[in-house]
Amino acid sequence: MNAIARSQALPALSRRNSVRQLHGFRMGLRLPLALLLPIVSLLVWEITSRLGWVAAHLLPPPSTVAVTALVLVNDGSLLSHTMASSSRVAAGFGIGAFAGLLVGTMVALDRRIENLLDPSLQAFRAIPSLAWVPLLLLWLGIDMASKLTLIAIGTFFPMYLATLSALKNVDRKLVEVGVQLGLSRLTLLRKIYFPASLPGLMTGLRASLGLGWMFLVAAELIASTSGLGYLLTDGRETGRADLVLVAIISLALLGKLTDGILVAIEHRLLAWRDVALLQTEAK
Amino acid sequence: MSIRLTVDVRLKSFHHRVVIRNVAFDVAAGEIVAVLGASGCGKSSLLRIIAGLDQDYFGSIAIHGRSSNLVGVVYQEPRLMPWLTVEQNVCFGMGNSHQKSSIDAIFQEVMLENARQTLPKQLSGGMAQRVAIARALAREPDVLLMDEPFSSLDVLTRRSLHTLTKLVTAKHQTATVIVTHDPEEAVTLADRVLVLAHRSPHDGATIQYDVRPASSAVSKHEQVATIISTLDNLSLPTQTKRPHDANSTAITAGASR
Repeated sequence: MNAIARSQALPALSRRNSVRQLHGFRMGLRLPLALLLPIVSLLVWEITSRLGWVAAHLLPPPSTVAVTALVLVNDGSLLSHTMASSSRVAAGFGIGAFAGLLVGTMVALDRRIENLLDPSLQAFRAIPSLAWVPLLLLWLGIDMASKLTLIAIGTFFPMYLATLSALKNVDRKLVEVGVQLGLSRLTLLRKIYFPASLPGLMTGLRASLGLGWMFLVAAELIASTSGLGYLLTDGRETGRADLVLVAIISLALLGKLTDGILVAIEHRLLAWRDVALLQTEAK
Repeated sequence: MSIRLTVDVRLKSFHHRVVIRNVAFDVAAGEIVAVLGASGCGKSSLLRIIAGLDQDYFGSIAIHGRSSNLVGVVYQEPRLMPWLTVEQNVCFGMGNSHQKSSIDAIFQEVMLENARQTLPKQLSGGMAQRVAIARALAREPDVLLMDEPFSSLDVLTRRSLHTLTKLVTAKHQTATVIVTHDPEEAVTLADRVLVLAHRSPHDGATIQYDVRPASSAVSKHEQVATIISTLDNLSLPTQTKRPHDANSTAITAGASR
């Protein structure tokens, strides 16, 4: 009996249960699959380091890094560095992304504003954001303001471009429905343009946040007395690779966590999307 | 029956090409008028003008309405907002002013009471088009415009939506204009069929025939055949047939008079 005949022979309820079990099995596989590569890497790293194949002072084994992390957690310094970095990213990202959204919307909706602003903004975008660092340090000193400005510049452009592109690609036919119903320009923006461009805006937010973390490290590496970037500098200057690795892993976890929050919000807000699944699960 | 819609489009051009010339007709309350013509003859342009989506033309559109003078439009594709539920789509753009009882009644008419909280992605093509009709009706329009609304649907769904269109036109006393390229649909659905075509390749489309299938003694099939042959003749690049006077022509018993 082939597979189809067997499945047809099953009673409906049991068939439904089988489908549910198969789905649960696949979902259950997701976490072990995601953890496979990190665990194998850690094992290889531990073994090579312990066997002396790589110099331990350059690449300490994961167990040593874990002990360092525990020490930093216990004395509260890891938490204070994390809090310092997170608050800088939150503020810089908030300012940059909001400004990107606002300017992107204005440029997308008014051709005169587009002609006025877009050429200059595209020229500014071409400047590597790190090139602003010396100027920001000169103008704003080494305090919070220069770091926030650098992060805001870094997060502004991806959000600006995403907003511009998303709003310009809203389906004309949907807008026409609103126009025919006599909606005002502001209501059109609120009820059609923004909801329709939400997938693009969410992608822009995620790209923006990713760059926010990147620019945070750049800002803290250059001039800081706290934060994970400072921890990186401290580790380099004192020759402690374990400190550097703790900071790197903390940044990876924080980046993943904040992106995960945005992904969860995206899934919730965009449940209406009718999209094709490009990936196929292994049978 | 009182006249609800008066269309008088003298000239509509697009990129220096005349699309419509001298198209004038009235639609009474509770009447369905089908505008028939070959692809690209200006049917949809005419509908956009009546809907108020295109202001760039010479002529006038008058709606002799009750109080609101509203126009409801059903497009070729349902054009539902995918992020809104069926109910939110139907009430779209109405603010909080809508009467719950009238919305309930519309849902009953279009037979979608059980799908009110459904998202558009979960609807079939026919259901989505029912929602589009409900959205057009929700504001109690004086004029209902339909731009090839059933062209992508299967025969059974199309028939049920024909019945629904007739029902809502009669009940709400709207002046309904339906654009189609299907002569059978035009004859089955409409009280009057206007055949839109170009008199010459360089001139805009105008009304070539004004057919009243409902008043005719001949069968629908015969009328469909007549319109198809009419369309065939009209689509010839060099027309040998003398064009009929637009507003006074009526085909009955399979012949023009």
